[in-house]
Amino acid sequence: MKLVPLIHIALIVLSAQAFAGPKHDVHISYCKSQLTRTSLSGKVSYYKDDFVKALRNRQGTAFYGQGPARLEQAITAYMRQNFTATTGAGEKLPLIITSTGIDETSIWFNFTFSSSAPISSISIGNTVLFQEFRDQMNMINVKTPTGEHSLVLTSSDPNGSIQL
Amino acid sequence: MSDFTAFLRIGFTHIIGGYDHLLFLIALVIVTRTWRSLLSVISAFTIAHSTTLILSALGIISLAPAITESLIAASITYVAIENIVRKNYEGRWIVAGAFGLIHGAGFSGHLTNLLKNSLEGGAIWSPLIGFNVGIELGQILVISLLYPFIWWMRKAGKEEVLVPEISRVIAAIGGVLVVGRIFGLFSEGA
Repeated sequence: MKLVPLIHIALIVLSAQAFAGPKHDVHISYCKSQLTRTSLSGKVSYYKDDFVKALRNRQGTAFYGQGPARLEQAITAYMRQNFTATTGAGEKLPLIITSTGIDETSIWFNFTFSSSAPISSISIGNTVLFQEFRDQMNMINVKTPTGEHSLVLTSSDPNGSIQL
Repeated sequence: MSDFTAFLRIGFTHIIGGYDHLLFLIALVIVTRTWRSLLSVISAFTIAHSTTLILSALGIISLAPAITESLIAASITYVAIENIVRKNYEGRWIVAGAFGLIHGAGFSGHLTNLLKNSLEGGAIWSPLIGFNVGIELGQILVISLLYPFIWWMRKAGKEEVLVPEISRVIAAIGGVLVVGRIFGLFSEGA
């Protein structure tokens, strides 16, 4: 029967994806934030093991044996490169990490992006862990004076915009 | 987009690209002979899956991802082998329910921990229910696409040939996934 080899091929293609693709669990980060006239601030959380993997990939052998100060610098640099905010006027806002927390499974950052001018719209990018996991989705919830918006950022769509 | 809709989208996308889940669903429903048996199998799986997902999110249960991932792969093999060796599939909803518990617990890593850390009190429910609804919608879509093939297979009298063939391949894939996941052989990155 000609259908049997066709079914075998289809299932083998599916299995190749299963072997190379993501596991059952979902790779996701979550950010809860608030947008005011001059700033965006909030808390962003990542799965700790994944975040460590990203840092290790970025730093290579330098990752091992470094002191806390250098590790903190590496984390800040990684976050600044991958977690960004740009106003509608084109001002790239600097990321300020106000505090960091870590537990058994997660690492999180309290952050602020401040603008020198009133913000009418903002574009937020979060590409953290995209290089490590092709199914990574970074979700950003933004509370504004007019309502609440949720963005789902993926490797094919790594930026989202919010109007005030 | 609200949190609910965003998580619904995440759940839906995850299932459509979740190949182990698709293989399990194919193996599970390919032997269903009536709408009633299909409905009982899917309902049992859905209820069990949702229960452990929610219990994980609330921190009531927590299983190591390495264990759940391997058990999920083993569930694919088990169901596929059952398709080959059994002639009567009455009571399959029990198997579907039992493995549904494991598949739901498979989300106890990333999703539930992040929700616990990011949201307080009742705020966890909207994203959690959205994610679960997204997963169930994805499953309904997959079964809707699969069912015409199952119907045709039965109508054309090819069930006895095709079910064991498909199941043998799925069992083999599941077996390789079990070994791979136990020994960490497969990359899950880009």
